[in-house]
Amino acid sequence: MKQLRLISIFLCMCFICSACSGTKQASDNSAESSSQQENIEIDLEKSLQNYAGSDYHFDTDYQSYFDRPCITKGEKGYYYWLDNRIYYYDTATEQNVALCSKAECKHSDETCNAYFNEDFSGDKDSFVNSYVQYYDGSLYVVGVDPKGKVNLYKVAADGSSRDRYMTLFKQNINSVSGDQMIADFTYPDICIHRGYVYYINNMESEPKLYRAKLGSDRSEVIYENEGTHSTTYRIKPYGDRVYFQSGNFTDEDQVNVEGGIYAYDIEKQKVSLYKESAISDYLFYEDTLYYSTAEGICRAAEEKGSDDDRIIETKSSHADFFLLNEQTIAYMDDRDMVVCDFKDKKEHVIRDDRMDVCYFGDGSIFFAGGAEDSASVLLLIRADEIGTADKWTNAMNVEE
Amino acid sequence: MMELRRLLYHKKTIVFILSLVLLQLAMLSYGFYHEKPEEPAMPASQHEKQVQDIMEECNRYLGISLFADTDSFAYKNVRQTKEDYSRILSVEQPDADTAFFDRLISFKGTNAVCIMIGIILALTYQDPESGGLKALTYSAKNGRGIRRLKQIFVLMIWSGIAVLILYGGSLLTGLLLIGSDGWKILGMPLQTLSLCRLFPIPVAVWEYLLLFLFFKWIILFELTAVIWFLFLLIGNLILASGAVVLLFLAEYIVWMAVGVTSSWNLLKYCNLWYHLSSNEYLYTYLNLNVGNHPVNRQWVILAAAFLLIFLLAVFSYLKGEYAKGDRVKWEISIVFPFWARMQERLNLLTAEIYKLLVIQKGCILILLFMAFVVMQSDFMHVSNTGYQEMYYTFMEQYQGLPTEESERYIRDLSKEVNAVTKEYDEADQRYAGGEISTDEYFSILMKYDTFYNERKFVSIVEQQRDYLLQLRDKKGIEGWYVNSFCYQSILEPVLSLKYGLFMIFILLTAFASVKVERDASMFRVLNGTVLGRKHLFYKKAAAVGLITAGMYLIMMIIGLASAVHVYGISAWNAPVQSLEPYYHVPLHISLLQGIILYYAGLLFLTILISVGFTLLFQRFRYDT
Repeated sequence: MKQLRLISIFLCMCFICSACSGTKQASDNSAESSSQQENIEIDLEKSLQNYAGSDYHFDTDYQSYFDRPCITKGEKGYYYWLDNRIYYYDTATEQNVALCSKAECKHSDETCNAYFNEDFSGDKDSFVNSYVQYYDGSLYVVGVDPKGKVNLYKVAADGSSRDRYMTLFKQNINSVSGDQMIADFTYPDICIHRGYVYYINNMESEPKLYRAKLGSDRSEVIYENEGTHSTTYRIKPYGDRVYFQSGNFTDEDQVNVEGGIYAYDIEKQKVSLYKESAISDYLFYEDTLYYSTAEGICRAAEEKGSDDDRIIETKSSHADFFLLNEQTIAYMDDRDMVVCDFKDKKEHVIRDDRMDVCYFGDGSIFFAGGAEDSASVLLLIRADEIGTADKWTNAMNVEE
Repeated sequence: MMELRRLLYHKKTIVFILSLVLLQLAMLSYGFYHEKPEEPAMPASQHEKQVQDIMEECNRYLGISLFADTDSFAYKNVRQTKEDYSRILSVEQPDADTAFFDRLISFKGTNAVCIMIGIILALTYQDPESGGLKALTYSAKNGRGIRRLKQIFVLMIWSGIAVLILYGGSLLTGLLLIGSDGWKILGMPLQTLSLCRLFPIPVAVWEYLLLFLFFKWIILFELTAVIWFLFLLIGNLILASGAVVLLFLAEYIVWMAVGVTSSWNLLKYCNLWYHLSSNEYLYTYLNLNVGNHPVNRQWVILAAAFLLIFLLAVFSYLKGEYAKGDRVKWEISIVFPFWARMQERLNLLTAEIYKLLVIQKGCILILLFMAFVVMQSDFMHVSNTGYQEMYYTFMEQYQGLPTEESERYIRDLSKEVNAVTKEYDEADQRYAGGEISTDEYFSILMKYDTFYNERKFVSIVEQQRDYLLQLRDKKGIEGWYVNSFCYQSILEPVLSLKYGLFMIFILLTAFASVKVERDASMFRVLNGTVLGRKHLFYKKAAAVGLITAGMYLIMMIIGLASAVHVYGISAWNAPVQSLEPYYHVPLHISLLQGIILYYAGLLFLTILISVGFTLLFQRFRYDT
């Protein structure tokens, strides 16, 4: 039952994130629109403060502008997961390299610094290949040791060393299937922000939000939804607040959720409801909340009592999105990225079958995970080309 | 020269070593003829391209910001790699069948023989317990230290000879087997050997083999010196053998625990276990981070071996200079009479402990018992049953006084479990009555089965809750939820296998304490000295009491360490009655105080029993 519930939660998250219902329909619609699409010229705000809050500190703040934590911005490039290795994309030279300084290395086994074991049923530490964060000059990744301890690992920014840093929680990840023990592990949601690790253990039937001081093995619950069939997800810290979503399943199948965005005030150590009825993607642009709904993307009203402004109707419900500037938005419609100027009513669609998951970006480059010739690849589009590009570019093939 | 010739006097030892060499040769030759050689990872023709690729990769890396910091290890490593590989860029590679040489340098059987030879050499150069040599050197303080250094020097020479015979013999056999081609290969560049294609040392095969022999010599010498030093330090063959085993075990654990990418990986590579389990470091390229500088792994290993050997030489010299059993200096006894008396008593007590542990081989008993205690303690894993995991998670969250949340959690889960059980019971009846199909029944049965852990957990935690309610109602004590698995492991009942064996250990130690004088026919002398005998008895009883108390303390520490490691103890302040077996404790004390009292009581009992039995055995042995 517990497992069924977990699977339901996972399916629900997939549902929310990718907005599966009606997607096909929307996709068909976008096919029509792509033939009529227009190029959009975008005047981008390159300052990270626009995307990450006015009180943003690059070294110690979580990079909430990425929609998935499988990519992170470093001092001069981006670190990202590709299968079970971490790669580095150098912004200046536009080159990719595995996080391993051994030029003679094949990057194919555990002797490589970029290689991370992902066999959760083995007797070695295994790593979660969906989380990497650059924090204060080092990289942090998450892994599980054979005893079921979920640990944070500190990796040197040049990949030269990797050590277990702290234990977050302990979880029995083995379950019996027939006569065999199999690994049954749902990845946790994790982020490091201003000296603390915030995480949600998704193996819990009713996940809670925890916090632990960086380097300490002691965690505290900072939010627990006390209703029945609860769920807590999508942590996004901005400045001195950690936002997250929580709600309760309204049906037996645990598909539909009623909930909102909550804010944890780091200084006052208090959680408060920030926005009701917001269960999908959200972000802050110039300190204003934008959130996705079944109908479109809304901008939260600045004054209390006023109605929120729906700035755009999206083709798919609960779409993941990114705000490029005050009048341009990019949102996902299945595999299509729709760039929309909602003031001038223009729309540009980027369709690429290679793209699987869009990570969005920091206002300079947009990234996505995908596959080309059955090999995993990192795809990218420079932000200033997003209004005119037809396809994503394979980051491995970018020429100098 | 005398020390050098010492080995030659042990004819059986020499025959044994030669047998080992022959066995190793046979194994190598058998493998060469009967095992299919591995396909070379890279054909010789691709060598130049591979090296060029590595060089190009180095150039590319140096242009990337990730490795651009000139002070970083990564940058220096790329530079070092480029420099190392540039040396073999233009090396010509003739195609040749090098299977034998590849097998020779990767053959692990020779390492096993090396370990045995190391042990034999170390044993040969021990001063025997009997035979008068030890007594003779005892008075020659200045000669003792020099003699140790001479022994180390001789061990170095014999290690070299052993390596030369082992590998030289193998090489000669190989050259005889493959004929003139073998001699030609010796003059070819090292990269001709398929195992060494990308090993960037610009030397010929014969030069590499000399280097290989040199490394093997130093590693065997290091091993021999370590074992020899342990024997010298401990002075008892059996104890020292135990220490050698423990050393290898510790090295193995370090080797397993430290990852190749860890910042502590020097410990993994400068490790006897690693040196003797594989020759990989002699044909694969890797730079280690030594003080932020890249240094080739093989040179790091060599430097570490030299350092260790140097330290062993210094310590063995100092150990040679020191002689045990120095009497209390008369000057001290005049100026500090109390201190001198204490030291005198301590010396006598130490002598009794020495008799028990070394002469009577009590240390073996201790080692066996400790092995049992360690094996019984759970350090490596937590029981992975699902309901225990649920219980631990519950305790992590709700450990403490029962709260509304904890009760609600139990209530909700219990309700859920009961509903599933009820559904199953009804289905069972309906299935028996033929009202539902087999598929429907099995679907409900499967659902019921998935609730096994929840059922078990609810039953345990409800029992604990009921007990806490009973405690509050009947005794007025507000009990806490505490992890009963954890405290059961700390407060183990006295009637257990561990304590049973400990009792046997106490009895054997007490019995052994009187046996040594009896075996040495000293009891007749002791029978005639009533006062002296009494003093001796008390000393012996104190020695037995000390040993058993020490054993108990170690047992206690292992038990506590195991519990802390596995469960992570908390809730020390809970009333001791929170645990059901301590319901009748009349004191208002915390769990921590209870544990201290429990351990102190057992310690007192241990000392009482051991001293009591020692005095009792001695009363039976001697007339009083």
